[in-house]
Amino acid sequence: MDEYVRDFLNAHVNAFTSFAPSITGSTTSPTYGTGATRDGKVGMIGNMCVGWSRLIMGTGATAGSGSYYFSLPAQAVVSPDYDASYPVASGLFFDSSAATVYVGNLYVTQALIDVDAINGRYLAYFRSHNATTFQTAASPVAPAVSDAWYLHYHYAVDRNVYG
Amino acid sequence: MAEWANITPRTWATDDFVVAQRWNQDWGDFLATWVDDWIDWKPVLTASVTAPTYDGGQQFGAYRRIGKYVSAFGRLTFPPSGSTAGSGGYWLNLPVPARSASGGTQPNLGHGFLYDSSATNMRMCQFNQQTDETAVIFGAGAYIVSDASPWAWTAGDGIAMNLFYEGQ
Repeated sequence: MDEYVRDFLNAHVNAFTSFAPSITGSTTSPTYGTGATRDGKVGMIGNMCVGWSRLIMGTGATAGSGSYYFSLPAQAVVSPDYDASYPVASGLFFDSSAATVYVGNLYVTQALIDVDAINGRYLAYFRSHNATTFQTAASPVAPAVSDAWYLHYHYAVDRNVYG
Repeated sequence: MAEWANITPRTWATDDFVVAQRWNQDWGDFLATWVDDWIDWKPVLTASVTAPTYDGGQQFGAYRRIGKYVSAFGRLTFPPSGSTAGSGGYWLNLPVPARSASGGTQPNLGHGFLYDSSATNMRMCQFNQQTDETAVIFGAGAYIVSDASPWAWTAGDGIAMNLFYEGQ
């Protein structure tokens, strides 16, 4: 009974668990700087992942170079069609110096298998509302101190590769 | 019911047997939250300085709570006449207090859109926790939604939201 009822119910009752997001650059990864904030909370019920994360750049942060790949709290289900991306989170990127918010989504794609670099999981791209490309170290702006990402996850977990 | 919270799931002992009361408390009530109607909820805007007024406008929404998981949706529309935009940044009252988080701007709780009736313009937005009971609104291409940003709020303008977050 505990295995089939209590443990399942506890998955709904237990507090969300911690998650620290990270970004990998396709050429050079960014550095987060002194005093950076990287935290989050996620809940997992069966194959569903929900929660949030924030990454706020600290003093002396560097943007790195190339495309940005974001880590996920758990492996997402990906389309069997190569490079058929879909959103696993909504969120925003905040450009502190211009006080401008870029609202967008985080997309996961099977193509990321080729560049997977964090915890053996797929990574994901962020694309904002008016962008023609995914976020890079230079676009829409080069992230610097106090710039931040706030993400809100809601997606299906692939238990076969969930680490 | 649509709300199942502050429950400690029973740990069953070897000689326990299922009786109706235990079954309903530990399982039936949980299932009911999935099938019962969601609880009515009216989105309310306050502000950092003076709250807007929108008597007679549309306020509809609903929420459901299952353990720590809170889902909500809603829309608020300013009435055809008599509304005031207030002043300062807008805050949305949450249907259920969110789990506290420390430091800086708070977690993202959900998404939605802003509607400018006079310009027939829609803009995406995000809702981030401001206090345990409120969320601040960030508009795409702008910053914190306020009485004057991304536009001055008047008749027919509206804010819609879809929230999913960890409740207290």
